Amino acid sequence: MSATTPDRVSRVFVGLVLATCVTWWLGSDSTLASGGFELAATLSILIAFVKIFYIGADFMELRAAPVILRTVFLTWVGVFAAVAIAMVVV
Amino acid sequence: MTNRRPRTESELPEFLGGTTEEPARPPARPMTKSQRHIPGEAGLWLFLLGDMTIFAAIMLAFLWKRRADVGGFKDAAHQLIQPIGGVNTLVLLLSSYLVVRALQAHRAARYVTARRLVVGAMGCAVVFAGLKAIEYTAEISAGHTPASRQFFTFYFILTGLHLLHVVVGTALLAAWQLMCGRRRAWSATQRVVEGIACYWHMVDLLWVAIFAVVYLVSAE
Repeated sequence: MSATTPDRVSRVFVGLVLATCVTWWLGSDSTLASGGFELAATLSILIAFVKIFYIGADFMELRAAPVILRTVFLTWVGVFAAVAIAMVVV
Repeated sequence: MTNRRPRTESELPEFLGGTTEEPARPPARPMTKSQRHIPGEAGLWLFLLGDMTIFAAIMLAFLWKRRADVGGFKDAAHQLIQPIGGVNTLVLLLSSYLVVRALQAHRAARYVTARRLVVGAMGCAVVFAGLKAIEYTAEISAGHTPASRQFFTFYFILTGLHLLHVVVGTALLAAWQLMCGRRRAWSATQRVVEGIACYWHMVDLLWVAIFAVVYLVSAE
């Protein structure tokens, strides 16, 4: 992993804003009216945890952190996301 | 005709936001395997990860209870003002971005810029709290209290605890902007400032999860 540069931070920020708009759209009534509730719910959670990963990696600067810290954070994100999706879908 | 180039902060007079000293170059980022850098300090991360895990446990308990009453939770989630949740997500993302840029400015000894960015992040926190107050007022006026339904018990616990973190984070940001005002050197403040920044990013990422789980997934 490389250190977070100002350009990269700006790109990540724009990506996070766009991802928020997508999840918001996924949760809107007009989207849900077309069906696929479980898919929309799964995608909402997945996108949220991808956002959380990038907040950790680039905003909290975990890209430049020791492997153990990155691993613990990634495990938290992965386990929380997996259990949350399982509870919604299964 | 003369070519005018934009002035950098260090060239401007101090009252216009310029720095009086030569801006120091940011310290070389330790990137070798043996010298990787822990933002803040190790103890702080025990606290942050513990706090995040408590929130995760409450959200998973919320999703577990939802399984027994999907219709009831869906109906209750539709009572929330989703646009306020969405706008608050964007507001906190913006505040996190400002905090990252403030950290970079502080590292480069651009204290005036860093202070302005931190104050901007505090402004975002005030907007967040204001919108949350509007939302709480609307919910309570509609009879949705922590005791009314299980959904709202979780809603008020999660968002209330999160709002408490926003208040604490804002106080920490205020302390940071005072450090910038006093031009405290990066070497003397690195751990504290990085810790404050990480705490604020945790506040942001927790809201991202709360918005997805409580506002979006429950309504689906």
